[in-house]
Amino acid sequence: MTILLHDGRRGGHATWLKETITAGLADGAILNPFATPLSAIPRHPSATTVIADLRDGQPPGSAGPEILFDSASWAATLPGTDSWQGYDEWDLWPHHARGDLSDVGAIADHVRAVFKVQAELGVPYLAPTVAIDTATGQAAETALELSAEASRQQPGCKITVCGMNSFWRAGPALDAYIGRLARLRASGCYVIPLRDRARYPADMTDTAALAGWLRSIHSLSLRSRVIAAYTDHLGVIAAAAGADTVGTGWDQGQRVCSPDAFRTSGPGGQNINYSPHPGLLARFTEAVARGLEDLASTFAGAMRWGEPIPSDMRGHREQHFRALNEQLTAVLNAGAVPADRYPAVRHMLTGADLSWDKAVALGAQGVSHNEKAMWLDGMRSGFEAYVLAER
Amino acid sequence: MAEFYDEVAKVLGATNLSPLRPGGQKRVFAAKRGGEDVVLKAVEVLPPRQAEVLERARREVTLLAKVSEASGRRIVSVRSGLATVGDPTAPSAVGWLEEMLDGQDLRDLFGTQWTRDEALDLVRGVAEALTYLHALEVVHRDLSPGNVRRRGDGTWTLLDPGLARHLAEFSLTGLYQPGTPGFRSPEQVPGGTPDTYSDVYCVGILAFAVLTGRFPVDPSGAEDAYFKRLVQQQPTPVKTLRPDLDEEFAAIIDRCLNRQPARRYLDADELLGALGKLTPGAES
Repeated sequence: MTILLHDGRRGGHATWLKETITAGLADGAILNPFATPLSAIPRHPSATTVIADLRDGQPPGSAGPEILFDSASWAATLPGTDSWQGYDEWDLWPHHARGDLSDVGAIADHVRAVFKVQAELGVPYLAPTVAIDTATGQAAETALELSAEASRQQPGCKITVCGMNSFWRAGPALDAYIGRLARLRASGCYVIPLRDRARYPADMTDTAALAGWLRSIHSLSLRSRVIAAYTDHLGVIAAAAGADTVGTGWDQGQRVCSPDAFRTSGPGGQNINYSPHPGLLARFTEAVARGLEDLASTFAGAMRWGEPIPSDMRGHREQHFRALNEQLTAVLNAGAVPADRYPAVRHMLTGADLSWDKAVALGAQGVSHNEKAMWLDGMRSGFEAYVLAER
Repeated sequence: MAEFYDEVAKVLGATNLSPLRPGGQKRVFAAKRGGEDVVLKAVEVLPPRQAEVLERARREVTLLAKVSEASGRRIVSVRSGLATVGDPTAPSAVGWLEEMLDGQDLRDLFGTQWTRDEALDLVRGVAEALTYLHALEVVHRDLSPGNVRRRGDGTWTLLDPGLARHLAEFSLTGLYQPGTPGFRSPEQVPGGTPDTYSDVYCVGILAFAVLTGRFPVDPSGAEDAYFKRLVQQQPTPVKTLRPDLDEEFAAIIDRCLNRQPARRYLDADELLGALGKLTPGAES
């Protein structure tokens, strides 16, 4: 299983990328023009420098860390996006206004510009797209045209699918659309679940959308690699459906994708101090983690898989990726095809469910049925709905 | 007053017309031209869809001319260009000639449970023919038994790609989707977007039907209910109705019939690749 770290705007972020990848806790990074500048600014090295630094010191013959550049055109074309500082320095919309995809010429020019940037950075071709609200609407057609044009220009490219909940819950219309994308025979699919709200954990109350996202990952993974972007701990169920790569990070904006992340009024970096409790498939703030520890230290330690409550930022990051790696590996090791992985995931979810009940009964602050619903119940319902439809 | 098809026959030099299909806007006749047996297809160009009818006829003739020879007789051959009656820019009728095929329509062969090898021969033959259309990014869209014929020498041949959709060109059909009840894919519902994998689904229908005597998705009842079943219902695995089938062939048919197009063979070439591993005589 591959873990890729999404880009972020936190100062010193590039150093953390390097540290985490060097420590073997992640396999690469996904940069984007909203977060990494073309030219260096204080505490933010240029994209070229970041990439060179990540590749520096690799043994001869090694492929080095995987690095992608997501042009984030899906974010640039979202209503309300206004965080253009840095973005406009990249030449992604030559001959046209930013966001103009109104005709085939504009689409071709944008794809060409994105690929030119990726070629200059020395990273694989990853097609741009727009966020899709419905599977049969204009945005869906534009996204398909972008993907088709990208596949014409660079037949080996990966394509991007960025969908809102309303897209993922579209049932047969979603399946039909995924079929049209599959016809492009892309070498890989970069799949983004765009959430309505910036919240960690991601809102998982829309069971049909979660199941549709998993079903689409499953379908796409039958013939190409699937990168489940901005997925974080939901990678457990994404891996069960066939994803081989999960995108995550340390801040909310790296773990959950929402339009807020591209607005100047957005929440910015958060969640740095979440303490992983993989036994509950959850991450708690330090205060909650300590409250649980005070009430039942043996149980709390078991839920942290024996790790101490992290004492610093590095500890938080490292524990998070260690736990994620172990969970994803357990799912992948359960079998080569999705159906063989379902029992392992179900076992994980059932175990977490029982542990949550025990944790809630302890009465620790911040460990209630509400939190259980946020962290576990939605994920479990979505997974079960997906599995049921696969029978 | 002469009928429109008589006018078309006159332009094309065809005589001895004998109807092959019931009437309508498009009429099909057995005919003679010189000493050759041919099929005459004549279409009346009526308002308000003259431009569409004309364009569709032009496409059909152009497509046939392009693929029939290259396909090694797997797509029916055209024997004339497009003939027009009246003003060539606004004709009252159009028509063309096709070769007269020997052998039998698939519909004449329905009604009995076929052996595994007979069904495999059908699937492989239709898939081979489709590769010539799919290579041109053309979707047949009406793989019903009346459009599939086994020649006297055993070659399976596709007819009537008049409803075919060239993927690179603007669809003529809009919300209307061509197709024959029972032989439609989930993409051939109003608002759907048929693609090469839709023809693959229809090959799966043909195989399922000849092997089991049933449709994979029941077309009876109201059309809306049939369309809903098409997009929502995963057909029963063929092996449940034909347990004697070998796993490999059954899996190929089931994959053709996957409700989700991304999980099917994406085109006839992929399907043929899968069939390539099968050999006759492998009943389980």
